[in-house]
Amino acid sequence: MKLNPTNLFRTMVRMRAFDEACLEGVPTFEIHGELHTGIGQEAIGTAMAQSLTPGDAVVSTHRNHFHALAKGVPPRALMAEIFEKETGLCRGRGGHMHPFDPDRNFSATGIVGASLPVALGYAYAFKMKGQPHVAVGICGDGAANHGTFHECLNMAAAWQLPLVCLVENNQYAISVRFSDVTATPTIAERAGAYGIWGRQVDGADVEAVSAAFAEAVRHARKGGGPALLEAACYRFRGHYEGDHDNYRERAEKQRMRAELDPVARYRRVLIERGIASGEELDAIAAAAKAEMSAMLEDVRADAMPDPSGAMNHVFAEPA
Amino acid sequence: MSIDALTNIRKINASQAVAEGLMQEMERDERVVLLGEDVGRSGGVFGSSRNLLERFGPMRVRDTPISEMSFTGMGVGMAMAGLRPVVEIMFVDFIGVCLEQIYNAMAKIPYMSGGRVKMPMVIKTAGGNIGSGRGAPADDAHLSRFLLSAFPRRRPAERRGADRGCGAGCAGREGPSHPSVAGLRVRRQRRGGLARSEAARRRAARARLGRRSEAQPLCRQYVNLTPKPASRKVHGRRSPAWCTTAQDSLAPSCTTGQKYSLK
Repeated sequence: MKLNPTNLFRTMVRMRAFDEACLEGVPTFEIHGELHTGIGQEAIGTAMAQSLTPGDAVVSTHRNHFHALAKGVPPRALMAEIFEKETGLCRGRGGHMHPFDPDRNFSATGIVGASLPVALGYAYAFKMKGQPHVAVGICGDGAANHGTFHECLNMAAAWQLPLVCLVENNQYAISVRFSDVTATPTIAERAGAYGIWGRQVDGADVEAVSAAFAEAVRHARKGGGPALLEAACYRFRGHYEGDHDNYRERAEKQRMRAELDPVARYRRVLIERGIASGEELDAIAAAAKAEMSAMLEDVRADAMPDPSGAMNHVFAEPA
Repeated sequence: MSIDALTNIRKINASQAVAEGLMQEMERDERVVLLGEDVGRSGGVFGSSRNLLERFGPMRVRDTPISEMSFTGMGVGMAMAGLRPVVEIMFVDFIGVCLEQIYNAMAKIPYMSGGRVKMPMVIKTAGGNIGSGRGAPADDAHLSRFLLSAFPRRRPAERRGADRGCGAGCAGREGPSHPSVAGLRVRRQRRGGLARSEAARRRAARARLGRRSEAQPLCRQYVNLTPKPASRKVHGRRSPAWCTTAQDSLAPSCTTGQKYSLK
């Protein structure tokens, strides 16, 4: 596939700027509950955006902002939802963990391990209706040890469903280190157990992960059955904003942030290749930051949901 | 109502009534898909999905592996993708295995999405004194209606008799946004009359129609199995809708001793 390097860079910095804008809502208590940012994992969201069509489905996790943006969910409505506004994607009822966009077949869950079953249902529906779409179920390394991971890959393989299981292996399930609780060095190698396509890729290399994701999607779309793609990455911040994060050593964090920063790494690549100068790329990053800051100010002016509607959609209502 | 019509009641099992209700729904709406353990080749452990695999094929009647949480979540995804899944949990005692998807996804997504996502999905299950009179262990014989009643947005619909059992199959139709749990309380698989006395049927129908207009399909389902009434006029008044629909299509084949067929 043909990738536009400058656009890849722009998408990544816009995603990062989006989450950095959201961070501002935490100390001010504009965002209640936990906020899970994907900072450091921009390359994966950017890769998804290169291959998905409007009809495809994405079922994401508690760390879902970049996946939503990749699926084409409007950033303004997504940010308003994260800030719990009436103008949000779900009228402020879902918050940051539960953005639902039925028009774009995007959904998410706050429960680890609960995304793959829903994606499996989409994949089944696509196959039943003969539609050329794929369902992407996203999980982390933590959910890969949940029972649904096995159940869903088994069913998807048995029935040859167009399911792409994308594992963002950021090496920690909150505080529990992946290697401490997992029998195999990688998750991708489990693909052999189900007789399906499987691959591991460097999730901080935006071009590599774009190519691998495209291949996984192509495989599933062409009727080849499910695909399992593991993208190795690193969570730059705590599990949630406010996490004391004392379970990872400072030295490790510094080293990993330096090695696995997809934005800084791709910036160097583009400069080395002579595709863009440092100044041009910095200008792109500054424009993204300005765009998201302006969006944040805009969202802050929106109304909160009317308290009289607090019980809406709680009970069964006449159709 | 003449005495003839009252004696022309077809006696069938509750499970058969469920199977027939499902069959009618699946005939009517090609989006209805049944999935779960032993629903296909065996026709359901109580026979409540008998003959459906042969009629609708494996994409619409899907035997699943023993993966309750995942196939329940699959039903959530199918509903969001525009299908009308009926997910069978064999015994309600097993519902703990998949409660995560029922409780957090199926029940809460309509709320969390601010009403944008509908959840036209039915969990079909059975509980209570299972085992054809031989009795069943404590983990196969529970009644979980009260547990399920506490969840948001779901309407438990327990069906005890054959007439109500039939309606359970189409509970998900009552509204596009209402996930339902339709339970069949099995009591020795006793054969019961589809219609009891005329007065009782009318009372039941009135009660259901009065409760919500969407309940009408439910009523139609079960009266389709009743005999043709002697007259549309009952006590000088036009009989209720459920009664007149029985005049159509199916009535002649529904008399005692005759094989019931949709054709």
